[in-house]
Amino acid sequence: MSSYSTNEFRNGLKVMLEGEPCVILEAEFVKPGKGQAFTRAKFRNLISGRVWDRTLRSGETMESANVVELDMEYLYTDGTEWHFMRMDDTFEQVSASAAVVGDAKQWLTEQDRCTVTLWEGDPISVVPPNFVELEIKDTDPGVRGDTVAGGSKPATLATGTTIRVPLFIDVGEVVRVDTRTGEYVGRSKQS
Amino acid sequence: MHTPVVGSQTVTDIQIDSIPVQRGFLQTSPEFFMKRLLASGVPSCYQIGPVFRDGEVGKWHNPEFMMLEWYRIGFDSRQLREEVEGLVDLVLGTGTYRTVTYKDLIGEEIGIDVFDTSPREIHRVAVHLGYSGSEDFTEVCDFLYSQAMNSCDCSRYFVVDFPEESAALAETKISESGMVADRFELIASRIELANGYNELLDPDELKRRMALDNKIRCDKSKSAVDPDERLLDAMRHGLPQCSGVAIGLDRLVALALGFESLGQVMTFPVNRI
Repeated sequence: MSSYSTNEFRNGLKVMLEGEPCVILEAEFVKPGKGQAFTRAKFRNLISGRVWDRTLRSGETMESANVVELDMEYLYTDGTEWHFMRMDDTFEQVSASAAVVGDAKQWLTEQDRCTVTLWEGDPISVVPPNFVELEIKDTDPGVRGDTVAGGSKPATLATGTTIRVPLFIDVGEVVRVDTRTGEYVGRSKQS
Repeated sequence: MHTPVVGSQTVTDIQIDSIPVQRGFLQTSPEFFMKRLLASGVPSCYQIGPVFRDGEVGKWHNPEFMMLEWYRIGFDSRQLREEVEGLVDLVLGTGTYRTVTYKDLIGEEIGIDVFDTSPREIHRVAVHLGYSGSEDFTEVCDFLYSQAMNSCDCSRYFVVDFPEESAALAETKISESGMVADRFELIASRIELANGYNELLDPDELKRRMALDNKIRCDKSKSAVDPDERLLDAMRHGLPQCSGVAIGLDRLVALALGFESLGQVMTFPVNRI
């Protein structure tokens, strides 16, 4: 297993910290008052998403984390596992638990392209596409003419997730949603 | 004045790594040469020149940098701090300066008295703040000092009364919290700009500190550094009472221009040479 010295630290490097894979968000060399040199770094835990601040003695090494991010196609869920397939020639499949898929599951429909992070070959996080298009399954009837007021109402999407949509959106329409904010962006161009 | 960039001797400081060259070492500061001149009768003097410290690379560090160093005969450290304020005001614009002791800075920012808490408890607090280094007391304090400096909102301030162990070439004095180093650092916008001493005059004390440095260097598997006998001889002859300070000139210029790293004021920072 390769390792990195603090002087090789750069943003995006993936290392093992306290037994868990992390990505370096920032690293700064500090040498207070002619004393010991340190590297003050921020790590994002790739499993929990939490940010850890750590100050390491300069020159210390950290084991690299065997982490890869792959574009994968979401296939289906059997209710306990979510199945994804590599989009290269291997067509290799992996399955992820509900905990790993996390918030992504409220947006995923079959054949969506996701970014799946694998650690030692196992999925540890799933990022959905930035934008998804989903059909409205249920919402109160729209009010004609009320397109300017900017009012909104709850609507349930095909995935079961509820978001807020403008009053003029009706059941059966397909809307575009920003998965990073969970907000309605517009009507799908296809609908 | 100009003193040599290459000297046959160098500093024994535990945390400063000199770059060895064929005829000695690239100087980490012009201090030894300037003190020999002061002992020979040269009056208060200054120098601007390149200095070298191995391995120091980062946003605010470069192994070769420009240092402005000067000595004032007859000044104590407070008088020299006032002079430093004057110079920094000229370059960065007039500001206000607070003076805070090392103990109080860490006390205010971290909430712990490093002079009156067990090393074990201090280490526990450090680990809680993300420290992952050794239990070595000095190292833990270095970490807490850097954390305190990083969280302190004061735009310009002097830190004074450092722990006795970090006196290096500074005189020590008795304070409310015991023996401390008569040394100061100027912090501006969270960056260390200057390091100054009421200069140690006693050659025997310096020799004792250099031997202690070498003992610790050995413990840390670093090579020992011979004491500079010419400097010690000059001090035996007699160094006049004086205070001296060194300013990282590249940092000062970078701050004056509102830059966010040293690389922006250097023609070729170390990663491009």
